[in-house]
Amino acid sequence: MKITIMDWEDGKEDEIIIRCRHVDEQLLKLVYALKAGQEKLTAVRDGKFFQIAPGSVYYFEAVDNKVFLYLETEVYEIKLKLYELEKRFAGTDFLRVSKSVILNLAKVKDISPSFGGRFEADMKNGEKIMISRQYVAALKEKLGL
Amino acid sequence: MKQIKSLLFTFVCVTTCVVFATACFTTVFWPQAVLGTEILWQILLVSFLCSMGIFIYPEREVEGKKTLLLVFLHYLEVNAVVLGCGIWFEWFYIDNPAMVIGMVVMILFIFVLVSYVVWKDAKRMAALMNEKLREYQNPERPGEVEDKKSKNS
Repeated sequence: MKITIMDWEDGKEDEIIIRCRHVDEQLLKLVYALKAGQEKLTAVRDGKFFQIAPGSVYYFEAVDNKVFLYLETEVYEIKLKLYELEKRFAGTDFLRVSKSVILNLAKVKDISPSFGGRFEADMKNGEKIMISRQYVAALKEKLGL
Repeated sequence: MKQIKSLLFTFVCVTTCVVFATACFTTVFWPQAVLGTEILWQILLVSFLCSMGIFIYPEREVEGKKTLLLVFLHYLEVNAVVLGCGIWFEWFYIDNPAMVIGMVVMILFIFVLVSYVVWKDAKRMAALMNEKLREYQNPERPGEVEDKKSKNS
């Protein structure tokens, strides 16, 4: 597949044009991933609603039947379930790394080993997220290992 | 499948060390012994039970002190398995202090050695993942993506 990136005039909205002979599953996944990355998430903090760009999210975490999204320093509650977020962001930078966490690979600074076959993701904001054994395989696959 | 592969790696390391330790132990404490085929099955069983110790570590994140506690618990589990099986299979006599000390020293040696080997392997994998992560985060590298930038005029 040939990829062409062109500079665009200032002030104009970014545009993606796909030229193809037929729309296959891989292409559809790409389109869904692009759309998922564009649509903002509605989150709540202190009773106020906020629109959050998915790209700025570091990770989602489920705690006591509630799901929270973590930005660099702020935490918001989100009304979506973790499995819904996993489905919505399938094929994007987001990856399930444990039963309770979906993290944004774009926000990972480093991966380090931990005990018992687990790994730890050091996030760019200094936080550490555990990558559990059963999700290490998915991470390797995502990274092309 | 990959999880089983990871467990198998630990199992292979443990089995190798246990075979080595068995050779040392029998040379020192049972020099005249003629071993039967059952010793092979016993070694495999003990190695398998010791390898299962990695499931002591929970899937969720744990703090530094708790991690140390888990490592200690893992070590106790290995001791319980090896000493328990050792008594059951009559590898040593519980009333012979030299044999008991010999077993405990060997367990410590194997535990440290296997932990080191597994840790080194995980470190190598982490380095590989970090390399791929960099590529993933910065995909526009020369030779990977045909990036034809042209000025829209």
